[in-house]
Amino acid sequence: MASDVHVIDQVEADARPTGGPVAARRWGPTPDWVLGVAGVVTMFVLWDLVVRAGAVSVDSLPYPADTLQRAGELLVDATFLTEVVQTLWAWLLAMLVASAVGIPLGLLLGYFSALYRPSSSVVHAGRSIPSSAFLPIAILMFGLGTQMKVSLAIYAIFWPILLNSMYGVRDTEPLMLATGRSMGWTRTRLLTRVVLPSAAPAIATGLRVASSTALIVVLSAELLGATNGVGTVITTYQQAQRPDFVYAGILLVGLLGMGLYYGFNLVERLVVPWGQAQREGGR
Amino acid sequence: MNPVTTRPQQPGAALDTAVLDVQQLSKSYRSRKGDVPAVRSIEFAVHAGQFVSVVGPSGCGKTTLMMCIAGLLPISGGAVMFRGERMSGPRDGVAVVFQDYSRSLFPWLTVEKNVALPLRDRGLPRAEIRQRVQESLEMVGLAHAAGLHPWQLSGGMQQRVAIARGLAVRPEMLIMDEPFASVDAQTRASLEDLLLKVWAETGTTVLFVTHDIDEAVYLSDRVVVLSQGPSVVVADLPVTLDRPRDQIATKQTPLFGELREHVYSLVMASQRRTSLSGEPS
Ligand SMILES: Nc1ncnc2c1ncn2[C@@H]1O[C@H](COP(=O)(O)OP(=O)(O)OP(=O)(O)O)[C@@H](O)[C@H]1O
Ligand SMILES: [Mg+2]
Repeated sequence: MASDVHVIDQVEADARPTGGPVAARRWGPTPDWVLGVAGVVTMFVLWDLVVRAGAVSVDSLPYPADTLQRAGELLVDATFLTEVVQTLWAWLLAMLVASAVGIPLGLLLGYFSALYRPSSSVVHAGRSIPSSAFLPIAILMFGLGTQMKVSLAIYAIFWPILLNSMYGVRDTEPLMLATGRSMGWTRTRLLTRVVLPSAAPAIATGLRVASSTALIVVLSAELLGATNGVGTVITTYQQAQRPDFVYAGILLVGLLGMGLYYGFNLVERLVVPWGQAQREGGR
Repeated sequence: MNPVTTRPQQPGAALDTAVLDVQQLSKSYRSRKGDVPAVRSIEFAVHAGQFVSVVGPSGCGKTTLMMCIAGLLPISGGAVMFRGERMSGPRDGVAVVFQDYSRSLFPWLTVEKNVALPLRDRGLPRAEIRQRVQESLEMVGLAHAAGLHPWQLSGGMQQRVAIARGLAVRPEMLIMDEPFASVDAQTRASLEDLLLKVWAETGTTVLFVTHDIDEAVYLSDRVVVLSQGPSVVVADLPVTLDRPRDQIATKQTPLFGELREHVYSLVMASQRRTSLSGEPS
């Protein structure tokens, strides 16, 4: 977690217009990376100590070494991998649908001032309802399959995607617009040459936030009763009284989330290196 | 004597027709409490090839005036005539360098592409665009930085990129709003001399907004002095200092001292007058 914060700080510091020379704009310096690994190692050591000291019974918290071994077994288990693919599939569908609707709509609502104010109150109301509130309805409507998971995830991530797109457009630097106008650009040209590139970093932030949220919602739906996905594997092992496998599954899910987060970070830095919109954070 | 006549003139550009004619321009900003005047009634003209500075205290409406002249803000009264035509919006041939240059460069484009922006949509062949961009960057001494992004440059370099972008279109008139306000004294002096050199080479008409009296006198053929806001023109002084000018020699001449003092007293007087007559309540 600590290393995540570092990464964000890094991006912000680098993106300032008066930012330093080229050399300063690299991937996080090695110490950060080392600190991240050190954090993980410390966690495992503490975990081991807690179990060894008997503070928690081995039935509710297995040894980290055992857990790691089970995780290794799961990684080569074809049924487990199929469920991982199911989870990722639901995640991907939710991301695609929510972006396809949320980004264009956000751009539209942000660009036209007449639409911005009325819509933002609706948006703030909508985003404060947790998607879990819709779980019973979603189950009634879609049953226990992929559709249910996807629809809940779409609801959860639609808002950060929409909001970040709206803010991205709203935050377009007026002087950049004036610059475009002084060169005789039409409204369409201002939109494609100024507004869209200005909004891109905020949109990317929205997508990054959405990607973690979507995974959380999909997994929650799986733990709460869906019929496929990694979450169902975890509940199955729980019922079979195999805490080592349960923890191994949780660990792998954590890794999956981390992988998505860093993947998005990387893409963000490659695609929108001028991003300053980190501060919006999509929360 | 007059450096204007020693530089190449546009054929047929008679000296008595002004490139820019600002007629009783007024501008008020709308606010919830009604209209707030920023510029009361401004009147002055700029002739082809001239370097004219507009000075005035901070907040007197210089940026507002310059945005109106560039056609970027609707005016509330009067008229802005460019080559005898009433201006109703931004137009070709007028380039603007903004006060806050760092926010007027596009961070997602390289220096080269930023400079090329005003040349797009003009149906120019690619080679020509590249050559003009190269040329403008060379003028400001930034040819080596073409491939960098604005955020990789120092403030002074960013400012030179903004100037290069203004020059790339080979404008008839270059409007600059306090372009050197946020760079250190040395960079400022060298940017001033750079601007004079480029001006002498290109023959562009320059309208230069500043709050720095020394800078205005040092650079210009004429200095237009504005009052405290809502501003009016309090004086329009010719500057007859010899060209080419020199940061040390020119500033040591008695004439420079006199002009500087004159402008200074005008600015102070207008400030005193406004504060004596005071704001109501
Ligand atoms: N967008 C705006 N809306 C309302 N009032 C404004 C706006 N922009 C400027 N003003 C007001 O108009 C007046 C003149 O502002 P302007 O920016 O033109 O001054 P300036 O001479 O350029 O100042 P400086 O030397 O500090 O750059 C100020 O009183 C300012 O508060
Ligand atoms: Mg100003």
